[in-house]
Amino acid sequence: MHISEGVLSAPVLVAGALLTLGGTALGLKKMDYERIPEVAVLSSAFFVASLIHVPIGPASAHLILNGLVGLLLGWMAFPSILVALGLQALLFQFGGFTTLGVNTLNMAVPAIIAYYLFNLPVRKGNRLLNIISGFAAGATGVGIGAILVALTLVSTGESFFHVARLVLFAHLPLMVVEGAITAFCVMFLKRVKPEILEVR
Amino acid sequence: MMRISRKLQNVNFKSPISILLNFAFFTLIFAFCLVREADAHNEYRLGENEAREAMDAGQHPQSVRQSTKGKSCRDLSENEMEALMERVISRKLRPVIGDLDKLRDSSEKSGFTEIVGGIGYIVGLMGVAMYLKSRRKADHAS
Repeated sequence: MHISEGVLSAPVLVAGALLTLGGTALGLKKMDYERIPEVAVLSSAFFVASLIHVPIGPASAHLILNGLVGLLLGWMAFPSILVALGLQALLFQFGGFTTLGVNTLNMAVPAIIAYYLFNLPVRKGNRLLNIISGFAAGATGVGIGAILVALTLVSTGESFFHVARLVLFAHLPLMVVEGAITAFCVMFLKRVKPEILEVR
Repeated sequence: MMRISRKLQNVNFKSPISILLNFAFFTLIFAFCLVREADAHNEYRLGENEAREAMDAGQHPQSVRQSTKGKSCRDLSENEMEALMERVISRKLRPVIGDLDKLRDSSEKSGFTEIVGGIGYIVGLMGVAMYLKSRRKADHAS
């Protein structure tokens, strides 16, 4: 889902970079001293997860984990994802530095949406609700990410529905996998360290 | 002492969560290596097939070899000449193409070193961030 360099026009790149800058500033402001290790660990989990390519049919997909990152970090997902994507651009030539802003935005906004929609139902309520919302958070992260990527590509002149259908269908299996992983992680975290889910 | 231990608890260094996350990490890296191995194996097979194809193609000029035996250059027809040159060139180029393939593979595959390096970067950034925040905290306290 990384958008490569040279695809997008300058206004889109600048807008993406500015929005990412704002989100990162907000995230850094909300980052307490005690939460820095958590942000770093999730950042590296995101960094590593994107490198494992699982072949699905003709294409290959990789885990994103942005739903989990958002659920656990809230707005701090912005700096976390920015660092991971920046290192991927630096070390593996995924995406690129000009598209870093847009790519971060496309991954971090779904994370924050997942946080606002599902953080509360994951913490409160009964077990079933927790599992379902954990699953939904993971699936939302991938699904909205795919829609955002499609929206970004529309600016290059592709027709939205064509691209969106393509991207969404390609990521449908991934949404299920991610949902399952996120639900599993959330249930585990709830058992061993429930207070980690409380993000301000 | 109380205070220190509480602080350590807050920082989450020895809590189950950090152990879990570390575990998850290494599982991910391990899975990555496995997938990479599988990939490499597939590609190796592909290379083998290609080699066989090339060998099949190389067999075609065998007949030419028979027909060109004992003839001087001038007596060769255009087809025979072409087949002869193709054979020689493909034989000479095979190792070079193999090297190029290997080079392309190694530049496309993200290596274990880079992954560990990236994680190291992140840990380093965490250190910088914690240092800066701790200084600010100390300023507030004093």
